[in-house]
Amino acid sequence: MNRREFLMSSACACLATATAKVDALFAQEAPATAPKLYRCGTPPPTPAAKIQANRVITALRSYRVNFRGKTVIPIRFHIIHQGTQGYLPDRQLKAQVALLNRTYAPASIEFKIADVNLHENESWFTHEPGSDAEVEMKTTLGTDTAGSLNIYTAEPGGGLLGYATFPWWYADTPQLDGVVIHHASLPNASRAQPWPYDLGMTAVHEVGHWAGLYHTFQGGCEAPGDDIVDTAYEQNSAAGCPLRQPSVCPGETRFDPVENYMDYSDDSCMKHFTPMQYQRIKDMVGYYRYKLSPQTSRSALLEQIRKSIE
Amino acid sequence: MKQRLVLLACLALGFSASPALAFKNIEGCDIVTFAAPSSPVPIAAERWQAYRNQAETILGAAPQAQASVQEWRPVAAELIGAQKSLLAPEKGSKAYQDYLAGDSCRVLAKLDAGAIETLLDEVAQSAPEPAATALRRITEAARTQIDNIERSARFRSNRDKTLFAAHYYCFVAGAIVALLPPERQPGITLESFGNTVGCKEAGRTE
Repeated sequence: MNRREFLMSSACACLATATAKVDALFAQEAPATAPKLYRCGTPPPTPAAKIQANRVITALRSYRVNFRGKTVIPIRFHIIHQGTQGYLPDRQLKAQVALLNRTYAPASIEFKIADVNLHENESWFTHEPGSDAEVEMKTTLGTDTAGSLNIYTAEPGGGLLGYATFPWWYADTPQLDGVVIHHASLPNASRAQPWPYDLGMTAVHEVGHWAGLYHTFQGGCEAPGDDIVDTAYEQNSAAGCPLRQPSVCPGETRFDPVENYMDYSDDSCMKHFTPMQYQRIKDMVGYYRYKLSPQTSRSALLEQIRKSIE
Repeated sequence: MKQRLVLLACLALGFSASPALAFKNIEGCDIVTFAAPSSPVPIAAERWQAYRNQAETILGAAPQAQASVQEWRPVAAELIGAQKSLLAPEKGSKAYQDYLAGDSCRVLAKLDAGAIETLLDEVAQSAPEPAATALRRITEAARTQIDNIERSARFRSNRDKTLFAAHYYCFVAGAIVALLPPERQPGITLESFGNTVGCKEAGRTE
């Protein structure tokens, strides 16, 4: 039994206990006060938000909440440009959305373009995350962040292809919510020279973060890694287009997830999410981005779960 | 008089540094390296003292109740101004250019959480309480910010990612070294803060 299997079995044992207790409570209708949530095993050395995301998933399973039905996410594109640099034609935006729809279909998520706006601004075009320019750009342009996905295309500095906000950040900084991607990362560009990041996978990767996924190499070989049981522990991020190799992490018998959308391989080598990543996407979007979710009929139950966690 | 005017001009330049990229200053690593007895770029003792005083003043005046990362950014911007002021007179020198091009130029690739905690404890024993507390909080804020970015960003390469993070780690190291007691400085190296990587290897060009 490797470390992850051990953690899984411990988690499942705890979950089974919690589920039994919650089921008993549900047999007498919903409890007046929400059941205390269960922390299984040793808490990992992670930020509070990460622990809370895990508690959300545990609670959703405990309450047997499964987000069903299609979630349609309107995308608001904000095209930041500097002269002709960064300008994007419609065909590239449509190709990007088509790719997002293909990759997120197993999570029953469909994206639709709601809005496209062009903005010429030099400091926004070359901004970095955490800068005043980021805050100014997003507070000026961000629209209906609860009910849509705001995608900003720009040319962020520092070798960045893109960055995103996690769903559990939304409550504190709703105005900063969204995804920023390098304008040259969108597919269908008319480019003289090929670029390893121009097939649209940066948006797939960043929307993964926006939907609650971590990098596959998060935490390296240390538990809980990326919190996904069907991705192998990975010591370092992949680069280029590596061959599949067994993970070097002690106790890990699987291969490094170098073809996963949440690794750092070149676009052409990114191939898939795993089933548990799709499950987490559904859970995180359904719970944190509930205004997008069709599960409004269960909002009372979700509210109860929220109260029990927060 | 001329020296004082130059110093004032440098201070003004430093303090006018934009807070746009608060928490980022790769030159903070140079400050740690130059504080060692075997510094490749000698800096006069009075300038070190001026830097310490500035850092202590900036941090001592920071509202202690501040909590969020965003709220620490203006304070960080002031500290970066002080860091740049310290190095400004040397920036064009041959010694500095040789250092940047040579193997002794290194930056932090990773912070050692335990080591940082120990150094902050040392600061707490020697520096005035408000400044020491503010230093601890601003260190946490910087680390939170880069941690958040690293968790949610896609970089073109590991090298880009390392260099991006180094700007944050170096700012932290340069701030901590300011408030360590002067007698501790000879024993402090960049490695006292965590893992380092050569500037060339990290792709540092500035």
